[in-house]
Order: sequence, then structure tokens, then C-alpha cells
Amino acid sequence: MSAVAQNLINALSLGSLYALIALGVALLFSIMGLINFAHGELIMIGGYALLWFAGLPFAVTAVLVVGVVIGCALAMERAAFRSVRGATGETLLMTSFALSLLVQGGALLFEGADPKSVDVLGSLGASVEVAGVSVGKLDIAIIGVTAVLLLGLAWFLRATSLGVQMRAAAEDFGMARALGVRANLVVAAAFGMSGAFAAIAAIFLVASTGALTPAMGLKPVLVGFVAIVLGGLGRLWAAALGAYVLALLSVMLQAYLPDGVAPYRDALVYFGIVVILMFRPHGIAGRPGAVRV
Amino acid sequence: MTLLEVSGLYVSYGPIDAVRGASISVERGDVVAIVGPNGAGKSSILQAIQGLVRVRAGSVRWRGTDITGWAPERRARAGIAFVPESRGVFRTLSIGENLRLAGCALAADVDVSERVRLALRYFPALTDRLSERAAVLSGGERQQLAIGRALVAAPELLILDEPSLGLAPVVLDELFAGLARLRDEGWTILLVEQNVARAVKLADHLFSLRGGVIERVSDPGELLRNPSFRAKHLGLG
Repeated sequence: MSAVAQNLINALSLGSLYALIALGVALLFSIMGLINFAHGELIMIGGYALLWFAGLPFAVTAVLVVGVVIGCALAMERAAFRSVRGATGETLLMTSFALSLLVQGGALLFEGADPKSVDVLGSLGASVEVAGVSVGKLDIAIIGVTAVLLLGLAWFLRATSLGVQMRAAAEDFGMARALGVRANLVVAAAFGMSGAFAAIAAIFLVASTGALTPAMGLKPVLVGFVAIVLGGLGRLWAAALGAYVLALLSVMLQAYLPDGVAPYRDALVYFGIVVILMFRPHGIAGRPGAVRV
Repeated sequence: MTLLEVSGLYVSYGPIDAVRGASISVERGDVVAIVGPNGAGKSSILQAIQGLVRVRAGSVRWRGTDITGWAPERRARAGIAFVPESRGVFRTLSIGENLRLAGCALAADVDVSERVRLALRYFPALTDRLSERAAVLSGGERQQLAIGRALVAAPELLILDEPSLGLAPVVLDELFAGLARLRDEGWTILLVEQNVARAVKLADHLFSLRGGVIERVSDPGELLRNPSFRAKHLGLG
């Protein structure tokens, strides 16, 4: 029983991290139709920013890291994506690929190819015993912070004027603009929030692994995309759902696969996703008529 | 006073010209209707006025200022409200949220709730349903919401694209009674309408569009009596 609980908590923690990444990507996709591969580079910048601001009290570091990544996200929008707004999905995708490579190249130039390490939230390295289950303090922090952010995002989108404008823009950007919704404001808000999610994901990612490389954003962002596709494109909460389902599959297969098969865990996870998408091509909670995979 | 002046407008989709050199003007307080068969380019003219499609040539002037290159939201803020053929109702938003969204076109110091209340006078049936999702509305109710939402912004020009499309005859009567009321209250309206007989009754001025080319119809009443127009546009011999 306790082993099952342990695995569920691991899945919840991993799913929370995936959800932070997936939501950052999904926010932009829902409003602009942009699949932003450069989101991984925002995570990478957040990682290195932890190194730049190391030594300060953690709260100060965290605020600075979030600020830097939001600034970079807004700069990306202004410099790269504004001029291709409204272009086809392929153009947007290629733009984001190019930007991703450019930023990675910049990181190689300034930070070097060798991995660096930084100790973030080392004080959360211990575990606590909860009802006979050992739970890492970092896991509790990831699960708790993600829950607060998800609830905060839901509140923001429902209760604030800007949130309602973003929901309207996600449904029909042209009509929202025809009603007076400022495209630049809504898109900048989406990029800013996407940057904030990337920064917080970077903090937890680096706290878990401690390692920094220029390509560190690639794998997380791919996982984020898979989570979005699995949950259903076009709905934010579906992206979070996809993240938790993906993490659950991953953790449970890790725990219960026989030793001989365990190395093929990722292949089996993705096979499972293919099977799910065969039966639900719009994703688990995607709308028919929305983007099909 | 001339509110809107469209001159020599061309709208193209790839190699196809949907609108070829259209010119229209709308005076304050006028109801102007554009009629014509399907695919004649009527909706493209309206979308060009609202800035939702690219204008290849020609100009759109609003109260004397060239707004051809303006973003749609800037046009909305300048006093142009657009109700598209699809109604443009946000299905995932509540009815109240849909209405309040039009407040984006208003100055920051305007009381949006008051404007919503005023707009709902025209469509009282929506008043008790503000928290419901717009997705539950019928076609006629959706049209009411779309027009009501446009009125929230108290626009100087209300643009309606095919307001009668897909509505049952009884709903159509209500809709045109409502539009006649708006006309009588002095609202300026530019509409595209396939139902020529209804458009003729409502409008002060009529334009006929065929194959992307527009012509002013000097006497709408005469038009309805004209056998060749009746045959072409109304399918009546």
C-alpha cells in the first residue's frame, strides 16, 4: 500500500513539473497557434539565471530569475514573433526553431558547452514521513507551488478582465480584436505568463537535477508538447491533465515493469500514448473539430 | 456628416479578386444595405472595413481619417462595431462575459456595467441568463447576444453581416423589428443582407454587389418592382 502511495506521490510531483512546462507552451498555442520550441530555452535561461544570482537569499534569487525569464519571453515576442503574428503554423514553428537554435548558440558562446552545477533549494533535500510514506520536501514544494499556480491561473482567466480577454482571444483572435481587445496586450500577457511558468519549472528542474547545459531545455519542452497533445490541444486544463497522465504512466511503468523490460520504459510510455491517441485523436479531453493529431 | 467612406476597394484571396473597386459612403444616422448573391464579395467589404482582411488597393476613411492600415481593435475603439455572419459569439465565455468584452472598445472611465444594462434593454430575455455559457444559446439568441454586445460599445457605426442568415421566420420578424427600432432611434447601420425584400424595407440607401463590383441603387422600391432584379436576386419571376 505504502509503495503505491509512494509512487502516486512521485507521479504527482513529476506531473506537476510537466504541467508547469506544458502550460507555458499551451498558453501561447491557445492564443497564437504558436508551438514555441524556444520555450525550452526560456527554461535554460532560467537555469543559468539561478547560477548568476546564486548566493542571494532564495526568495530574492527566485524573483530575479522569474523577472529575467519573463523579460526574455517578452523580448522573444517583440523581436521574433510579432512580425510573424497571424502567419501559418509552419512559419511560426520554423521561427521558434530558429530562435531556439539562436538562443542555444548564445548560451554555448557565453556559458560554454561544459555542464555547470548549482545548488538550489538544497534545504529541501530531506524527506518527511507522512502516514508511513516518505515524501521529499522538494516534491511537496513542487506539488504545492504548482497547485497554487494552477488555481491562480484558473482564477486569473475567470475573474479578471485581461483573463477573459485572453480566453476570448484563444477562441477567436480576430473577433476579439474586432471588439477592441488589444492584440499586443493579450499576446504580451501570454508570453509573460509563459515565461513565469518556464522560470518556475527551471527552478524545480535544477533543484531536482542540479545540472545546467545549453541544451537542458530540449527534453522538458518535448515532454511538455507530448503532455499537451495527450491532454488535448486548445484547452489549458487539458494540458495539465495530459502532464499528470504522462507522469503517472512513466512512474508506474518505472515501478512495476520487470527488470528486463525496464530499460524500454520510455518506448512503452510513448507506445501507450500512441494507443490513447488512436482512440482519442483529439487527446484525452480535446474537442472534436480542434486540432487533430 | 460622412462617417465612413470606402473608395476603390480591392480585396483579394490569392489570385481571386473578391471585391473590385467598391466605393460606399455612410452618413451619420443612415441605414445602408449591401445586397447581392452569394459569393459576390459582400462580407469581404465589411471585413475590410473592420480590418479583418487585407486591403489590396483603395482606402477606408472614418470621419475623414484614412484608417486603411489600422488594426481591428483601433477601429473598434474609434466607434465601429462589427457583427460577423458567424455572430462571433464566444462559446466558452458566459453571456455576461461576452457582453462585457465589448467594454474593451470603451475608454477606461466608462462604466461598462451601465452600458451592458442599456444594451440589454433591447434584448431583455438575456438579462436573467448572464451567467450561462453562450454555447447553450439558440441561433436567434446568439444573434441577439452578438448585436447586444456590439451595442455595449455604443458604436457610431454598427456593421451587420447577414443578420438573417440561418434564422427561423418568426425570429427574423423579431430581428428586423429590433433593427427598425435601432434605425428609428438614430443608430447608423451598415448591413449586408441576402434577404433583399427585408433589406429594402429597412435601409435608407441600397448598394447592389455582383461579381465584386458595386453599384448604388437609386430607388430601392423601384428595384423590388424591377422584374429582372426580382429574377436575379429574389428568384422570383
